[in-house]
Amino acid sequence: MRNALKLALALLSLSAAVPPAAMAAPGDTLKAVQARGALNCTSSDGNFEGFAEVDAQGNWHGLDIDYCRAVATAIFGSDDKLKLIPISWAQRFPSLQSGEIDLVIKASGWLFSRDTELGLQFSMPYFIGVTTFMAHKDLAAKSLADLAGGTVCVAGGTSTEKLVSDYIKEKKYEVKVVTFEKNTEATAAYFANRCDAYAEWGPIVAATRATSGDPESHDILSDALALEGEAIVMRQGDDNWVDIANWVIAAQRIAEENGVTSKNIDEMKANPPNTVVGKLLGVTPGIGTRLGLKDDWAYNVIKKVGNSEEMYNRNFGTESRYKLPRALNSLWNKGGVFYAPVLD
Amino acid sequence: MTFSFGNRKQRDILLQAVFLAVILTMLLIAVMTTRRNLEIQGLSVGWSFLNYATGSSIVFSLIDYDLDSSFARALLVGFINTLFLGTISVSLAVLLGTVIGTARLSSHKLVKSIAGVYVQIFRNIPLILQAFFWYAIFVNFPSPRQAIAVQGGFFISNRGIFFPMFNIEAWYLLAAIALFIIGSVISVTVARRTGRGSSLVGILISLALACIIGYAGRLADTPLFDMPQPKGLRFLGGGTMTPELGSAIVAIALFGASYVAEIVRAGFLSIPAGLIEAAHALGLGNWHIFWRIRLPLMIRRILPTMTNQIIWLMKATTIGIAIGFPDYFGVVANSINHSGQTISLIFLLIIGFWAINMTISFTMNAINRALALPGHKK
Repeated sequence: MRNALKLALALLSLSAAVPPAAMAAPGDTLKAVQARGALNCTSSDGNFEGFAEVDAQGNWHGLDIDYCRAVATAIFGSDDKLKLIPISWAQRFPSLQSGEIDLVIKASGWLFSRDTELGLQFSMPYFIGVTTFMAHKDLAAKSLADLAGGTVCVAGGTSTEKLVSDYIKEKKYEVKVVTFEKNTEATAAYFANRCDAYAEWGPIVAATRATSGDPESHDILSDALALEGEAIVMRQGDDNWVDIANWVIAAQRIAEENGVTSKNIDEMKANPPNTVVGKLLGVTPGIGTRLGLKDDWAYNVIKKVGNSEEMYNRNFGTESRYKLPRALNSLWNKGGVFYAPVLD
Repeated sequence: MTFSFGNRKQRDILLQAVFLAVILTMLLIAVMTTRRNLEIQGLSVGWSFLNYATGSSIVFSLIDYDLDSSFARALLVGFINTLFLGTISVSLAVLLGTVIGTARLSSHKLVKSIAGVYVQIFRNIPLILQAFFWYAIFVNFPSPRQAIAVQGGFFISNRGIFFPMFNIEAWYLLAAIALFIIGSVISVTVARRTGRGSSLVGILISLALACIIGYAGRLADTPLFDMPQPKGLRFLGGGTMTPELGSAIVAIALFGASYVAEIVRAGFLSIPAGLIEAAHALGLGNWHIFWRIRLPLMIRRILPTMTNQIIWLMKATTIGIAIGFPDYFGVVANSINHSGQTISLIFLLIIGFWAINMTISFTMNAINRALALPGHKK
């Protein structure tokens, strides 16, 4: 009897002492990352062509992965302290909120609902694309209008799914949308001819087509849906952390504008052609301390990951297997829409 | 009245009260902690999102649904889909399982070994793999333009199986089918309980009533059957069974049948040999013994286990998400993705499945009590 009472009391005191879930208070993300000695960033639960792909050795590649590497390099001087955590589309925001990861870099569109309801904060977009369709060539379709009565495969729960559904409704097309849990399953179903068309974000469609067994048997349709900007996602309330993400993106663009690449960076540092490059590479102090980083963070990022042009070419452009023209993703002076805030 | 530890009854009551208090305290702390953490993270948790438009489409829906429908409506669509898929596939699993379980006890060598092999194969491969396998088969049928035409207006293609459909409003059709089934069950039970009258008469009356209801719900100026017609990329008219639904039904039915078969076999084996010998001694034939003695006794014996099995199969319908069938789980997962309201939606998911399975268990227990032999009512 005594023992039973003791047990009950022990249980009571135990339950009262349950610690609250561990999570960084807002504003402390950088401190937490430095104290932990590792940056937790997103990889994927399947290949997302050009953004996050895993090779035979288990190494991750892609634009999103490179941005994870860039942020890790900015903080630690190299990317060997980067921890990539495989996370599904559905899991990305809950994992961020629970503190399991420090930031989401996973082709995530900047959407009103996410920005307002979920306690999230977005960086400036680092990649933009329009949603497009790919259809089997033997249907001889020019646009979605020619696919009356057909079906489209998409990955569910994505902004693509919403865009495509809206578009079909607006145009009053008689097309059905079939949603799958993963992009991998949606593409597999399309290639198995379960669907007449497959919809995704433009670069993904192009990459999927380029790497399919027979690119010639698939046509990209003329429909171009809303443009969507992909941004780095962070928890709301940590301005310093958002600044770091924004300026990592900005530093690579400033480097590109000024012709600084991973190859010529040491010459540039020894002999800066203008004051901006001097500030960027830490020759003139100031770029690091205001963010809580070292003054050579931008130098390290460009040296090890490259400037914005090198990043694109490595993952989508001339050096990749996709060979996609950069188009809208170029800087403003090369016919694109991207620019950098002023580094003063 | 003073409390004393020496009094066993009072002591027990106190212990139980303390135990309950501990459990409640833990629950309360969990809720408070969750709320505090959500507040810290600036997450809005609530139910207001249920009225927002989902903006996503659902490929298979038995009720009206489109992009502008609310999340609540989408969840209802998913819930109905789960009930629909579950009812069909679990009924098939029970029927097929009973046949196979009986076959495993057959004195016929070939029948017995086929049933044995079936159980070993389907019971030991994970359900998700079987679902992928059937889905692969369903999507590798020819495209609608080269669809396989089967007698009687059936077409098989990788967009689904198209079949003729009554030109009757859905609710009338459902009512007619339900009436026929319920009427038949009642007439069979009454005939057997009273030992008077033929159940056939009751079944025929139910059929006639069902036909009248069906006729009342006919769409004006249309033939009785709506035939699927190939047109462009699809078929117009008739009914469609999508590959997603088809493969989910086949996978769950075949997988479930192998488990049901083993339960049925155990039920038959647990009947005391004395009862069967007594029946033989009375000069009853094998057929009679099976229908009048072995089957009824088997059913009584396996009901509790079967309840578990049915509930378990109901939960197995969640494989739908993997092959693109929008079941309740699939719709909840997608809504979480679109709305970010993880906690509220998971709660609704739990409540939904709990309600389905409580209903099953309640119904099965009622049947169990109704069937129990006099003197064995527990």
